[in-house]
Amino acid sequence: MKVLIASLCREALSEREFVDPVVRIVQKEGHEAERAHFTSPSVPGADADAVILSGTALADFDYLAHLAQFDWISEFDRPLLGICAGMQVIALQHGGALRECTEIGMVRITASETALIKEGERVFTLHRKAAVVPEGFLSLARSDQCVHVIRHEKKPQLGVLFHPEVRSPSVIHAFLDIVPGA
Amino acid sequence: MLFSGGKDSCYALHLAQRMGHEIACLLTVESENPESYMFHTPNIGRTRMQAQAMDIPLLTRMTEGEKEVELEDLRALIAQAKGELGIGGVVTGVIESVYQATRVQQICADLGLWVFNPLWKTDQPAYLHALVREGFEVLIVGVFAEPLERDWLGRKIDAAAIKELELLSQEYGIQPSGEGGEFETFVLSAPGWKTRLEIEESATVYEKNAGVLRIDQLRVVER
Repeated sequence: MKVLIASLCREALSEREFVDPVVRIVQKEGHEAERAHFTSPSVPGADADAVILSGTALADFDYLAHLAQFDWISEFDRPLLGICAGMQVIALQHGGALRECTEIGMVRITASETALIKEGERVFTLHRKAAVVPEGFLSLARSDQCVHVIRHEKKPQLGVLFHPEVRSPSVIHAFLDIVPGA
Repeated sequence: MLFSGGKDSCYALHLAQRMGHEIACLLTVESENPESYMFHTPNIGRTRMQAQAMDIPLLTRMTEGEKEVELEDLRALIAQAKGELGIGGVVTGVIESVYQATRVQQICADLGLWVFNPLWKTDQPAYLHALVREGFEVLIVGVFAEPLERDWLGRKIDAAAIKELELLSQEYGIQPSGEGGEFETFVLSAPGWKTRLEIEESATVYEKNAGVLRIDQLRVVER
């Protein structure tokens, strides 16, 4: 299947850090990975089986200045995973809000059984904002600071605040497993 | 640019320049502790000559290399670069170390600076091949893991060396790019450098499965 990885990075140099590792994980699982910047008309694309929204550098909030580019999310029915900035955008598009919350480095997660991640697992975090869970979403995992995994109650849309590409690639594998035809 | 003189910082610098970023200065923390947690130690005094070869200013700071003290020294050095040169961000060559990445992210968050880690999680064998293909002249100048014996010191990273490192990686679990501290490198020449360096005098120091190639004298030559 084909997975579109949308970069939310302002700087192309950041994509080597926040997009390329995700692309490699998707490819290693035997899937086709296509990449595009979030401002490109090819996002979300007509033919991708699933879409992943990347994270960004800690100092990068450029995506928040272009929220209209993400208006497609609320009606999107294919599997969608938002990582860090990507989770924030998903939450905002569904009427959620952001609040200040900084975590940097490895953090322990408290998770429910359906959270794509194990209870007590340590994950790599890099964020200054966290999402307030929007209506219609379930909160599935959290640190002692903020919510780390959200899932839409009906649509296959997931958000993770930590960076699964760093120390938890199984989260991306689990997401790919929910894609029909995977 | 956090600069150790090794391949990772040189290649990350090259990537940053290639994507249009201006490298205002190189930042080197010179550790007096040979087992520094944060910084590469063999031959770090030689970064001055590399900086000259690149024609980029170098800011250095000595540290005693105690685990948390050296972080304060790094913070002071980055703050100095921000104050004196107005840098907007810091580039590092970190590949896998969450410890290093976290500390640099924390310091730069406090100082209001961007961080770029263009080699983060990179495919290590592919990266090593890219180094060779793009003309980086890289020597192994420190070995700190059992399968890497004395004969690796002074060896140039080329296709044959990469193949052997990949085999050792499969057999012993070392990281092929030495990211786990298995070996350290020194760059003599790279794309964009104004001149290249040659070693005039060096000495091998090796005992108990660890050793360094101490570079005593470098010479500047035309590229």
